[in-house]
Amino acid sequence: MDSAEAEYAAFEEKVRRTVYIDNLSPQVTEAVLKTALNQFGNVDKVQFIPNYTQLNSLPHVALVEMENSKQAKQIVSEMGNFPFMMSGMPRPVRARAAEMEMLDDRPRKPGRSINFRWLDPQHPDFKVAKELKEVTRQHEAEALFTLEQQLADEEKLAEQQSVTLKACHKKFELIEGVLNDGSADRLARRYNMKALNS
Amino acid sequence: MHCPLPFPTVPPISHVFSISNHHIAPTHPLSFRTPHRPGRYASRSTLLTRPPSRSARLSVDPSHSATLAVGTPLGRRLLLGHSYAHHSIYYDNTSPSEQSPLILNKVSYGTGFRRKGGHVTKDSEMITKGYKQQEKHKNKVVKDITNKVLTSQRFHAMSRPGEATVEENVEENIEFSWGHKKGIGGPNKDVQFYESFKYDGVEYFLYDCVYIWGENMPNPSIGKVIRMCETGRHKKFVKIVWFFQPIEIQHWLQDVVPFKNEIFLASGEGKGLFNLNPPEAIVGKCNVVCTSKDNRNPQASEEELLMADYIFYRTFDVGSCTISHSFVDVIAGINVKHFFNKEKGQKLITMEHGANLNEKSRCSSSFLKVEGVTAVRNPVKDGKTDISAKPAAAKVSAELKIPAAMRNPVKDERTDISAKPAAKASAELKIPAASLSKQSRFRDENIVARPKTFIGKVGAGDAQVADKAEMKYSDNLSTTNLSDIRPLKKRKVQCIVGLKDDPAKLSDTLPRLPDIRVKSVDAVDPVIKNSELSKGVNFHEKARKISDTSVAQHEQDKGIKTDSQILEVTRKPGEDTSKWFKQQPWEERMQRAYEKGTLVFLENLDPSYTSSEVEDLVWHAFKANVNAKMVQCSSFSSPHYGQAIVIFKSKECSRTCSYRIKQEMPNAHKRKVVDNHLAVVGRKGSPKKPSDQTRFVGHLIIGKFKFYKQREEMKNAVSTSHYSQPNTIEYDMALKWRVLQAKSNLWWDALNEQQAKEIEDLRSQLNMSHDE
Repeated sequence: MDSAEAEYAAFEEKVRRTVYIDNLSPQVTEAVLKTALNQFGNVDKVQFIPNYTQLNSLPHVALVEMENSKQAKQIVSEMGNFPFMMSGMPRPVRARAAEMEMLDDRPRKPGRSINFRWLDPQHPDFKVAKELKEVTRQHEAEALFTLEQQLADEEKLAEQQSVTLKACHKKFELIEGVLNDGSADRLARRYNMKALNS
Repeated sequence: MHCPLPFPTVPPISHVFSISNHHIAPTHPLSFRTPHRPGRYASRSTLLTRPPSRSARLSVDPSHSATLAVGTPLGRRLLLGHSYAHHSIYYDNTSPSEQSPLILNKVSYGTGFRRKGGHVTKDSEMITKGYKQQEKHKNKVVKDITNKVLTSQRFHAMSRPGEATVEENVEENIEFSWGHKKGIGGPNKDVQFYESFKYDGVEYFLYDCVYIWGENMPNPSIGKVIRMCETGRHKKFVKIVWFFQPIEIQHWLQDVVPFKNEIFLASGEGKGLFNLNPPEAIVGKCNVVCTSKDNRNPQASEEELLMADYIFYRTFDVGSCTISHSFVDVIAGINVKHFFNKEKGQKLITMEHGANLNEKSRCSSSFLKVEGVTAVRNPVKDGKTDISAKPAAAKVSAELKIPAAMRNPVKDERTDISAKPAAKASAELKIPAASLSKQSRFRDENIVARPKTFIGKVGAGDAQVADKAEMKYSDNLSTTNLSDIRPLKKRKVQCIVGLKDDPAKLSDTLPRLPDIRVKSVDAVDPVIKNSELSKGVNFHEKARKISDTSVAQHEQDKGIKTDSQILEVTRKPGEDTSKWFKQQPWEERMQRAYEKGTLVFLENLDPSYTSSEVEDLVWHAFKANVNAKMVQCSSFSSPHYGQAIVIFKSKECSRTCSYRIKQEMPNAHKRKVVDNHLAVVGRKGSPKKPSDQTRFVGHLIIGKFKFYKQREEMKNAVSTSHYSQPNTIEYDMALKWRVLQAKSNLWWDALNEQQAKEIEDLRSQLNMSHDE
């Protein structure tokens, strides 16, 4: 049992030094993640969490195991304070401290016992259990809806930003064009002002 | 096809030449294989580059020595030696058309193998396909063989340059250590015997059953280690007595229909009985359980049977090529008790019934349960095996009489009711109901039928039991027990009564039968369901008492509290810790399971369960050995619901289980409830393969408006990761994303909170507790 406890303690330690990162672009590979996070410390392991939901367009999610928990904490706090770009912009990635349930190779919790039973249809709890099942379905639908909503919001924001970016780009292009072809200088001379560039 | 362990489908790459000191007529029924270490690192690519291999057989004059070269993927050569004639069996897949679809060729080899730099010595002879090479061909043959070995090594070298060099004393870097010493023997007193050895982290003891993988074998061979020794020249050997798989001896099976996972112990004198192998040839432990009724055999418990990869209760005499139920006292110089189940594996239940068995003609329910088939086979003193039943409530006593044909199983192979449900096992079911003077007899062929055919026929209420039996079948074919089948029989009786025989006679009995059935179907939990079934339906008071106590013991064994109806999940037994059978990547297995329809998606678990705990849970709830994986949580998964993907071994099994937990199914009366008061939801799994066509919004590129220079910069920007600077547009936009992310956090929190409340409300309505 001691070994199990030791294993569990080791696992808890591992969780502490793991960072959960989402909002990742599909282009982000393990190598990219490693390079990006090596700025904060040494990356031990990178694992992408597979997406088993019915939605395909979810941003990717990864678990990054750092050398120690201090580095992990640093990543979480810094990424919380500053937007961090990975393989594209302007959507920043998001970092969180990992939770136990996020890791798939977790050991058993020592000393825990699981009980179960089958219920007869006559059993008074049967109805409740049935309702619980229905609620499960309902909650699943709710979560899915929320998720879809979130994706829609993200898309909307991206769309907006794309428009903004284009407009800004156009503006800067215009300014640059004016400066390049000498119009700005001519205008400055015409109105007896100092040219922008000079 | 039930495969006990997830073997890679690809046979290992290796080349074996066995050298023999016997010349064997090619018509001899058995062939002998040289088992060897499967290629641990054999990959598909190396296999593809490999030419179709033939098994080469060499015959060595006993007065001469020869080198046995075994090329493994690592380029290792194993040299066997020392004065044992040893044999093994294998299929020669190169000659499918020459004799029969399955051709067994014989190779045996022995005496004084010596190593000579990878070359077969000049004195060796070679026989291929029964053709004995003449003296004048010898040198050529030797050259051929050498070339062959070298060729194969060249192939290895191509695919795996680092590992393919042949060197003296090349050893794999897999740890090997001997255990306790046992004694010294051999002609020169230079052979050290051992009681155990440890290889690749697995400790093998004497009389363990192991898998040994031969070349081109679809399945590994199974054998029992009866000796472990190291010679004076530091060559390690294990002596293996073989088990035959039915397909290997199908020529001699004749009308014997073996169980699906039945194997036959080699016995008698002759080739194929045992073999010497290097310990490295062992690929893993195999769980073989002896179900023989022999009183020297400690009976196996039901749990052991469920966990068994293979069972055996018959022997195959390699000399006379006959199958026998009896075990001779000595097999290959080893007392037969070592071939039976190990003493320590005995469970209370089996000991008790082992004892009962000899004294009583009546078999207790749990004995039948455990030993279903073999119990029936037991010759009883009055020449009859009466299994009587007396359900307390309905007061109908049904008596199953097993007639003479079944009583003498040693002579008659058809005693296995459960093995051949469709066979003409001549069991008769008598229903001498207390209220009825008349008895109806049904031929067993009417009564016993394959459970699968039942599914369609039986009524809604029966599906449970039928499913269960079906599950049993797929799970544990060999041990399908009488007590499981019996309810089916009853129902069948009930079904056919209207059509056959005289319905009037039974009209009184009939209404009661469903009662019995319903009662047994509603047995509280699946674990004791079996015993309840047999207890409730089939047995006399006397037998009941026995079974009651044994059930209690049984449950004590498993740590299950039946009185509270809440079952505790303990570890499932027999977890294989061997690293030999490297699992394929989960994604691949999942995809395959999905195609086979054996994927089940379990929801509503406690999110903190681990994958192995889910496996245990399924094992206890459904008696099914599965592979499970918890779905990893992410920021958009619910914190209340743990999900697990479960791969069942067979489709029937997964269907049964998902039916049983699926509320939509009209037949499913049971629901699994876990202690955290969540009803587990199961549904057929349909993995969405993470498609490559994922859309990811939010990364903007200015595209064609950019100047070249800018484009270059953008390219760089894409490939690097950075914090955005507060004086850029990027920063502004990033902050907007941040706001959105914060918002999403809020709404997920709100949703989860609300859901938690709803769940809590419902759970508080559940009035079950642990001490209920």
